[in-house]
Amino acid sequence: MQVKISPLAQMMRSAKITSSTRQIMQKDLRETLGTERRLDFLAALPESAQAKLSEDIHASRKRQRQSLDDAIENGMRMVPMLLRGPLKKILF
Amino acid sequence: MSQLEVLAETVKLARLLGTTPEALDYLKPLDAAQLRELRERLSEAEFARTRPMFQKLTQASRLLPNALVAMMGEKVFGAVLCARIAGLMPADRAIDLSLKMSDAFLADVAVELDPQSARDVIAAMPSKRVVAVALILVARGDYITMGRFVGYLSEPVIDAAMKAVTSDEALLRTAFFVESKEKLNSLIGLLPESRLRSSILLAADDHSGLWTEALALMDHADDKWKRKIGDLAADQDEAVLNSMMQAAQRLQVWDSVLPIVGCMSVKSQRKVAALPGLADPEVLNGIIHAAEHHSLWSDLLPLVGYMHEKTRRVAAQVVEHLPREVLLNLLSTANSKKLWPDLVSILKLMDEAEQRTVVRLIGEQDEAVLKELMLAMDRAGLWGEVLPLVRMMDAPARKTAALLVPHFPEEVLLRLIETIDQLNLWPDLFALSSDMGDAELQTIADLIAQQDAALLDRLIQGVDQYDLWPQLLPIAARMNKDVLLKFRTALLPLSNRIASIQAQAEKLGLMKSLGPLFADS
Repeated sequence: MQVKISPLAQMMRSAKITSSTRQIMQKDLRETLGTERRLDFLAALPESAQAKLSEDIHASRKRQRQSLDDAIENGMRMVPMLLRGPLKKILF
Repeated sequence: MSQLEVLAETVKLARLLGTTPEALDYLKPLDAAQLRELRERLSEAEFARTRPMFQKLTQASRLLPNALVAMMGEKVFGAVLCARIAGLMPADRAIDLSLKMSDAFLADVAVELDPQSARDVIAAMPSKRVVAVALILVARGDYITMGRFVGYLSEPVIDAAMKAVTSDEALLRTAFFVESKEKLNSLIGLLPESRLRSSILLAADDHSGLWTEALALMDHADDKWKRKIGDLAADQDEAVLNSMMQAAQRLQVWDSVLPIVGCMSVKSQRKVAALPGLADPEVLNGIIHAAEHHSLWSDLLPLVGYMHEKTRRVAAQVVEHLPREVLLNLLSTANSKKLWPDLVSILKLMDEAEQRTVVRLIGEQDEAVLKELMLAMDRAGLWGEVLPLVRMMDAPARKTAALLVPHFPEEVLLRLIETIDQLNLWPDLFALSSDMGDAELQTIADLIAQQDAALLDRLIQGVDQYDLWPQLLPIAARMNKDVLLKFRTALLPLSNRIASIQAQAEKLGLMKSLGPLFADS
């Protein structure tokens, strides 16, 4: 499966890390994992590791989203085509 | 946190991220607790993100009969969706639905479930269903899922599952991934001794490759179980211990193995210490490295005491090259854990120059350390080994020892004199006496005065052999006439030397006190 690379990882691959890149990277991880101080230790990881982690999390989320979408689509196959859209709106 | 725990957490995180443990090499700076925190937050964040979406589905499902919902869940929506909504409905309804689903489907749901969000459902699940699902997961080799659930199940349910899962391999592999490590002790307690033994034997089987899992289990056990399992391993054929030590070296998990060995009985520790493989410098390097980095000197030092001289000599060569800060840690542990005799057993096998370096380091410690060193060696009946070391120390340390020794309890001093007499260590004692003050010299004089004529004879011979008269005479000058007369008797075989000894007494200005010694000369 082709995994979409996060903007952050793209930036990491194409450019030298600057302080603004670092800020974006940390923001990216924060958005993914919330702002819990319990994960502050991630900031001590090398920048390349933070970027790779961010990339892996994005890929994993994408897979999970796909897996959920597939499950929902599979369920909807039982429903007549015309009703699928409205039912999706009601149920999800 | 051990390396084994890091490994288990890496495997679990890799599975969550849909990658391989090797691909997570970049997370090596994280310890096991951090890896776990990251995984739990990721899982929690994913479930939290989709919760509002599935809440609507959960509410809608209430409008339909449970039998229909269960059928649709299993046949239409599948395990991924069911796992998302399991924790969103009341536990009794989720249980009722689960009873209408197949065991195989529940096993699929278990794989996708976040146990924390569905903990009430898991806890209320009937034992028979848990066992049935466990057997399916075992058949699939999905030990990670098994391990994730253990912390949420009651002891009787786990007991039933452990009895049903008869494979020791499954048991070890599941234990490796158990999240609630604190529960492992009660789980081990549920196993009969025969199962513990067969699990050890399985791990020791070269084809199983299960030492990682077995050692991880032992690593999390409390000291009581470490001792029990460690002794069980030592009671088997020597090949079992050998295999364990080889695995520790291969996996570089001495930080897990040393505490197990440290908890073993003396009999088992002797067996470990006698393993020929331990004499390999590379192995000892690994062990000593782990002892230093994980503060495990107190587990290692007693083992050193039981090693064969060949092995201990190799250990001495490793220790003598340790940097000063590491040696200081070692000394500090030897002191606080009363393990001086074990440390000295390595020390005496070092090359002289390195031995002197370490001894000087000991001498640089405060008075309390020197005192404990000497008293510990006395308790171990090893005065004979510590006196030459004290003599090797720098002047300030020797002076400290000289002022300390005479203040030890009389029974300690009597053992000291007995050892000096047996090993002819008079030069070591008199090397100290030159640093003693009046009170300390008087104590030594009184101590010698209590000895019988035979010992005094040997003392005189030793003093004459090493020309220690300048040290003995000031002590003798503090003795009463009766004791000096005993000395005079002891001097009779040295009649041709008396004039020279008397000349030394005159030179020291001691003739007034030592008159009875030379009365007839």
